[in-house]
Amino acid sequence: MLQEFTKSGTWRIYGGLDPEILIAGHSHTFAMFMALQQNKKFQGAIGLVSHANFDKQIRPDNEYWDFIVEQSSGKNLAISWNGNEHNLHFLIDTKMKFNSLNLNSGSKYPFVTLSQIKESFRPTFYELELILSRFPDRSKICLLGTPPPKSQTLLNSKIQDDEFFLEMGEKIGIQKKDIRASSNELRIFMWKLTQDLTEKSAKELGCVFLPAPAESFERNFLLREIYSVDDLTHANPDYGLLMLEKIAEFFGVSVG
Amino acid sequence: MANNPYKSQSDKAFWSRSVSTNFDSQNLIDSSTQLLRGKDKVTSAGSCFASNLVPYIESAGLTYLRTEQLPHVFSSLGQNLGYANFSAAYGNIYTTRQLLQLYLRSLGEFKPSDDKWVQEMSVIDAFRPGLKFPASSVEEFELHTKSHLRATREAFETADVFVYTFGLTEAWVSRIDGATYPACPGTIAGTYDPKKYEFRNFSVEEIVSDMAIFVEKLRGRNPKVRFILSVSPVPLVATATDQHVLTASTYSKSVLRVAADELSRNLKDVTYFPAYEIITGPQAPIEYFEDDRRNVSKLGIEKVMNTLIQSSGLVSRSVLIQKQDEVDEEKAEMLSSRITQIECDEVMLDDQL
Repeated sequence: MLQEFTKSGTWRIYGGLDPEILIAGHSHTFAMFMALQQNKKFQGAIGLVSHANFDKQIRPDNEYWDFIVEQSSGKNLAISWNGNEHNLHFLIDTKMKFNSLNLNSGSKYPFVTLSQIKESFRPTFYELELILSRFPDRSKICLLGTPPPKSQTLLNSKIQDDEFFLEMGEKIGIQKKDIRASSNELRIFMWKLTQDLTEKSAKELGCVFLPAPAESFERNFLLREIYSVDDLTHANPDYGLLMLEKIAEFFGVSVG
Repeated sequence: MANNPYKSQSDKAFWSRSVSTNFDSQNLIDSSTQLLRGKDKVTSAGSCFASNLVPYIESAGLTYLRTEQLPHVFSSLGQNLGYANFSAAYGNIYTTRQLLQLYLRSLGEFKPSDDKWVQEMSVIDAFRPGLKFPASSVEEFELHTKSHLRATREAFETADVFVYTFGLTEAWVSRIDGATYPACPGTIAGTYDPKKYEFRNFSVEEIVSDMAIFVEKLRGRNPKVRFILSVSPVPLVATATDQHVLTASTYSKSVLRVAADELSRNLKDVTYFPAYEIITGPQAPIEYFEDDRRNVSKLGIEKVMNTLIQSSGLVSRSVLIQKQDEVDEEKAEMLSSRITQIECDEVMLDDQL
């Protein structure tokens, strides 16, 4: 049996204390958490570690990862690592665009090599590698692909409806009318790169990469609207359900 | 005393009156020529000394053209060897042959056969061998190079003033087509092969000819452009000749100085700016060079640049003006980052907003 709470009580395991699979990671675990709550068939088979007060989410800290390392011993472990790097600097449109291999923003913009873009992601993957290196047996760890970007149209409508973000933009000095989402092409390009880098990290560290389910995105790689939650960056519990089923299938664990 | 031509000369013609005493670097510049004007868009190229110009140009309120500027998230990763310090990312252009060939490449008039060195993990640009983030494939190299040459051409052809600092006469060139490299293959990158590369020490005639062709070609597409030429006071780091590096350096700088003079005397709107004399003349304080007696100190650079700015009747301001596009980009990046962090961590502190 696993321990339900961390020492400070900040983090806890949801979904049962003797799961065959443990899920951990950042904010994209929220969709899986909701799916876990809504679908009893996973109870007992899949556990998910998150904040003890799920309404008060904070970024997983050292105590969280210490707990995962300790509790996942002998278990299958699925980690959802960050997943919003493609939005972090590029969610909002700007005149300072760029081109790259397979990204054409317009001939007048400078070209940025893949090696330079990948370098900009280095801190997040370096942190991932540090954490993964703490697991003595990584053969039972899979790194999860994260949800694809949302369409520019959908994002623009959400931004323009969200007074909080508009006011935040105004405080920074951007007029409301100028707050627009960046192009689909840019965010898809960056998302694909992060997925490739996650897969590369998985291979290098002896883990397996489990990509986002193919049925969750359109042919152009945008997240299908039926899997979008009402914010700018995350997927909904239906997406979480797809992921849970995929994780269970990957580890050969029968549910329901 | 009999009359003679020196009788009518002004004080500046006499060492005792203008160097031994009363030295003023402003007097080195012809007062009838305004080198820079208030609304000038300036492009610079040449040796590393030329890159020092940028903050002074901008603090004087002029526009330093940047046609290959990357979004902040990438530029903040830094770049090697000053590639980010020029109008486009061409880095140091030590020889006039390299400058001319760069422009010809941007026009599609010269396609060097040995322009890339394919390595296991990367494809090195033979003309920018120190790039910190090289291409990973030939396809990416070609796209990167095409974009760089487009940016170079734009920087050259939209400038009101083109500042060029002559750096070296010594260079390594391709035996196949004369392509001139910024560094000997095998030093920064690539492999030295004497069957493929040969040493050249360009003469006054060759330098004058190359620069004159460059001026003529650029004027054909940018008739308004004015040129300011200078000679880098930084000595050679090493020579490939059999001479001592000091005598080789003196020879090299002398050739460049003569070439600059010929060009400025014979071509319209081409002016020589005496950075070399300000730093290396006997009047110069010892502190104008660093302890290695090669690199120019901050004090020396300030003297040269302030002379350039002040001789143009401009005033340096301490506050740099940031371009509107850069400001907008920083704001958009900040908003992207804050929205993402809020949605991801659901942590919101008022003092961060």
